[in-house]
Amino acid sequence: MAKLLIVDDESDIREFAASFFKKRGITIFTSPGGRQALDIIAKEKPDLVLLDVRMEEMTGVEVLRELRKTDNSTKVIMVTGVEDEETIKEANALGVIAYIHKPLILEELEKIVLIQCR
Amino acid sequence: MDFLSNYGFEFYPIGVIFILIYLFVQAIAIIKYRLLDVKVAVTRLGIFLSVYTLVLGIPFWIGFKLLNSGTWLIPITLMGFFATAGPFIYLYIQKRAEDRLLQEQRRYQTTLRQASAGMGRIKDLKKLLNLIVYIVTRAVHLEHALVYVNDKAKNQFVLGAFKRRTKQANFLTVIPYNCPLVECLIESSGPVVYEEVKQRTQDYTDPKLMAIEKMVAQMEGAIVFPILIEKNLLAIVVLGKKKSGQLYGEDDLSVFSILANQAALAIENAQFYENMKKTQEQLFQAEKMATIGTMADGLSHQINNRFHALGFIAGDALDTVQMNKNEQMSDKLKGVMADLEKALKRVQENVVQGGEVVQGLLRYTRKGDEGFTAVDFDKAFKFALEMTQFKIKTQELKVVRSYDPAAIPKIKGNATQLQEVFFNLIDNGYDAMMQRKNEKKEPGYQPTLTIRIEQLDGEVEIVFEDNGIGVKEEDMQKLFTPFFTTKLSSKKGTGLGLYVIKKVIEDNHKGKVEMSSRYMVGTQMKLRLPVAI
Repeated sequence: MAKLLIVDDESDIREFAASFFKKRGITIFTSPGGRQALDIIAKEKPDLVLLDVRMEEMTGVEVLRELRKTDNSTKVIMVTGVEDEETIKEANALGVIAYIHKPLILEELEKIVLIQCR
Repeated sequence: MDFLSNYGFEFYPIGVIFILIYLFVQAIAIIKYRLLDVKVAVTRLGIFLSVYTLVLGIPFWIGFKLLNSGTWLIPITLMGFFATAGPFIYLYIQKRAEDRLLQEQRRYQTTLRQASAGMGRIKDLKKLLNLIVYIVTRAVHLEHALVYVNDKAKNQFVLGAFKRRTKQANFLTVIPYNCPLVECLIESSGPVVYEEVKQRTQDYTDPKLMAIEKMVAQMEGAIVFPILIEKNLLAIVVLGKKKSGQLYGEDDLSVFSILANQAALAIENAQFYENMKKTQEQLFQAEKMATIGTMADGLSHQINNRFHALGFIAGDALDTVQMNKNEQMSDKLKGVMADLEKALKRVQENVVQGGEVVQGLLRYTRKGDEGFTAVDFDKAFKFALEMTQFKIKTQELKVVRSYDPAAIPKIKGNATQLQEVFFNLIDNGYDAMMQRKNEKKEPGYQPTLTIRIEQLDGEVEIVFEDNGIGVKEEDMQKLFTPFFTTKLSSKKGTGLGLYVIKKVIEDNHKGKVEMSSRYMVGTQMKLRLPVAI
C-alpha cells in the first residue's frame, strides 16, 4: 500500500486531504510541522511527501534541506501559495518532483499523487 | 467796543480802554494757552511787514514824493491788493491743477495697492491670471490684454487668461519657448514696446527684430512685458492699445514693472502651491499603493490558504457524494445528491477563481532585477497573443503589427512579466472592442488592435491602440487602482490588469505607462521601456 505524508500547518488541509486519499486506499500520515515530518519520513518511509512551503515552525525549504542531508530518495512535491524564484531555485536544486500552487483542486492533486505512488 | 460814546458817555480817552483790554485778553489767552506759536507768528508777521514795507512802501514813497497828486493812488492800491492776494490764488490753482494731473497716478496707486493685496492671496493659477488681466485692463483702460503662462513640460507659453474686445477673432494661443520674443524678454528683463521695435526694424534689417515685430503685431500688442524671477520667465503679458488712443508713457511702464514684480511672486506662489498639491496627491496615491502592496502580501497568503482549505473540503465532500451515489437510491435522494454535487463543484470553481485573483496581485508585489534579460518584443508579443487564444476568437479581432520586427532593439526586462503585461493589454483591448461591438452594434465595425513601436534615446515606446469602447472620463482616475473594474461582469475581470501593468512597467522595469482614451473612439496605451545594452 502506498504511503503519503501530508505536511501542512492547516488542520483543515490535513484532515480533508487525509479523508480523500484514504478512500483511495492510500495510507496517510499527516504532520503540522517540519520536525515531526522528518521523524515520520525516517520511520515510515512514505512514497511521496506533500510539503507546504510557508509554515511557522520550519519552512518547507528548510525541511527539505534537512531531509536531503540524509535522504535523497524520498519524493517530495512542494505546495506553495506564491511563486518565489529564489525558493523555486533552491527547492529544485535540492530535488523535488514538482512545485504546485495553492489553491489546488483535489482531483488534480489526485492525478499527480496516483502517478507518483504507483 | 468803542460804543459808549454812542450813548452819550464821552469820557475819552477812557472809552478806548475797552479796546485795549480786549487786545490784552486775547494776547494773554494766546500766550497762556498756546493758541499760536508766538515766535513763529511774530517772525512771520515781521517778515511779512518788512517785505511788504519794502515792496509796497518804496513805490508809495516815490509816488508821494515825486508825483504829489492823488490819482495814481487808485491803481497802486489795487496793485498792492492783488499782489497780496496773488500768492494765495496761485497756490490754490496750482493745487487744483496738480490734483487733476495726478488723478491718473493716484488711480495707479490704488490699483497697485489692491493688486498686491489680492494677488498674494490667490492660490489658483487660473484665477490669478484672470486677476492680473483684470488689474492691467482696469489700471490703464485697455482694448485687450493676454497672459501667457510658462508650461515647462511642453516648453512653451500657453494662453492662460485674456480680455478681448468684442469681435476680435483669434489670438496666438501658444508662444514657443525658443523664439526671439522670449529671448529678448529674458535678456532685457524689461518690456518690449511695439512702436519702438517697429521703428527699429525700419532702421535696421535684423531678422530677430522682424520676427519679434511680426509676433507682437499678430497678438495686436502695444506692449509686451515679462513676468520673471531672476532669469526664469514665468509668464508673458501682452497689452493692446489704450482705449483713449494715447501712447504708453513712463508712468505706465513703471507701474507695469511694479505690477510684474508682484505678479511674478504671486504666480510662483500659485505654481508652487499647485505643484505641492499634485505631489501630495501622488504621495498619497503611492502610499496607498505601498500599503496595499504590503497588506496584499500577508493577506493574500492567508486568503490563499483559506481558498486552499475550502477547495479540499469541497473536493473531499464531492468525492464522498460521487462515491456513494448509486442507482438503488430513491429518486429524492438522487436529486439531493445531484444538487450537492452541483453545489460543491461550484464551490471549487469559485476557489480557483479566487486563487487567480490572489495570484495576480501577489506575483507583482515583488521587485528586483532578477530574471532580466534582453527580451525580443515580437516574440514576447506573439507568445502573449497565443496565451489569449483560449479567450479570443481570432477571426473577431484584427491585429496590426505596424513595425519591423527585425529593426526594433531588444528590451531590458523580465520576459514572463512582460508577456503578462502584453497579455493584459491584448485582453483589455479585446474586451473594450467586444463591448463596443455588442453594445453599439455599428454596421461595418472592425475591431482592430494596432501595435506601433518607436525608438527613442535608450528607450523604446510601444503603443497598443484599440478602437474599442474607450474609457469615460470619470473612470480615468481610478483605472490604475487595484480591484477597480469597469468590465460589465465582475467575473470577467479581477480589476488587477492595469494595476499589474503599472507595477511591472514602472516599478519593476523603471519604464513608464501612459494611457489616453476617448469614449467611443478607443484607447491608447503607451509603454516606455529601457533598451537592453
